[in-house]
Amino acid sequence: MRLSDEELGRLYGEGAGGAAAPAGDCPDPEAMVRWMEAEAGEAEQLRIADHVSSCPQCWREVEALRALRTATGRGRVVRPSWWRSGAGRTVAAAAAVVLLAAGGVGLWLELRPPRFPTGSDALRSSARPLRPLAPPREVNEAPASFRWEPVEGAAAYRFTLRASDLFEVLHREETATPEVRLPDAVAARLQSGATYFWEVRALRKEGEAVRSEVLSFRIR
Amino acid sequence: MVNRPLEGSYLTGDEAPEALLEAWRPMVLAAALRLLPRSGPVEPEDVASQVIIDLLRVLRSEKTISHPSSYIQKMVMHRVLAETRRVRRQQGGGLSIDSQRNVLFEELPDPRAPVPGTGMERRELALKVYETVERLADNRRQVVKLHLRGLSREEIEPLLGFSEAKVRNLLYRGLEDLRELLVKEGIGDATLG
Repeated sequence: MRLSDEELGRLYGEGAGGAAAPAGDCPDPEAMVRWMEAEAGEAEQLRIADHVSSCPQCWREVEALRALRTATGRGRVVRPSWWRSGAGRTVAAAAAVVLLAAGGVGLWLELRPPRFPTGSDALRSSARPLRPLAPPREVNEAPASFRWEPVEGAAAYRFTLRASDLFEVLHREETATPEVRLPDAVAARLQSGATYFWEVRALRKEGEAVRSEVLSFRIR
Repeated sequence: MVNRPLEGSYLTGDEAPEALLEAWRPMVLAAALRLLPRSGPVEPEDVASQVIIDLLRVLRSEKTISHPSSYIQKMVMHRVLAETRRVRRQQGGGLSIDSQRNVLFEELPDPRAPVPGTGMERRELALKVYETVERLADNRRQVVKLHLRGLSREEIEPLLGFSEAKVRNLLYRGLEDLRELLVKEGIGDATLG
């Protein structure tokens, strides 16, 4: 029997999935990013390499971060010669499918940074950001309504208001018009000195998002 | 009421973090989709939003950023990991076998299928290969593992801080060691690899 490097690689990955957890703790996010950027010391780079390549969960994160770096043009993924078909192509194709499904061709075109747009650049670009009309970034009291310019191709909008604390959703609703009136009960919960985040996801008829933006305002 | 765009207050030249970060959303979302179970209560899009919100907060608190591209990318990577791990913890731990199996639509071979010429099921062979790789000597082991995970020598060099020649040598020796160990286990022959 003859096993190619590609087959050995597949077997190794499958074996890691079925084996007991590898020695050592999974690196925390800081350590993982330092490792990806080759910024830890030599011993640490080796230790983390040893762990993440044996750990299915860590390796999945490594692959996700590699794809992210590649999409931004900073990472350079040069596959070894044996990585020609099968897994390699499946991963690359699947990543492209996921990205396209996530945002459509317009957003795919945005995957050509890293050239960070200035505000005016962003407004000129074809996939321009959603334009908020109200409220402004600083307000004196809880805003009564949220409005934005209609987005081309949108059949509905999903509005979400969040507190600055992670996943706490204060209000969410879908609307056919580019405006949401904030219920009094929700407005009463907003406090002075706090910053709140609102997101508008413009949806096609099929529910697919065409634009999605996060905006914020602060109550003085 | 006049509907007047507020770009003056939202998008102010180079200090427009919303516009800047929105360009990252597709990448953040793609990463979240890869790292979260497919049918969890938290939508990957919500995770992507949360990452953007966190980054907005950080960017606004920074006075100057000397290398924005590199800096923001590191922040994005960090926040993606932190958020997806947090959501996974909330949802009760790590990846299920099922989600591993379905990752990126890749069909894994049947683990119970017999592998011709070995007398073993595939899962037994896979475990044997895994355990044998783990027995390789330091340095050779790390290089071989990254190679088997699909990294090129050019990617391995900076990750381990080794020169191109050193990586090439360690990989060659490591694969040779692996071949010999596997043959002793009754897997493969002298031409393996």
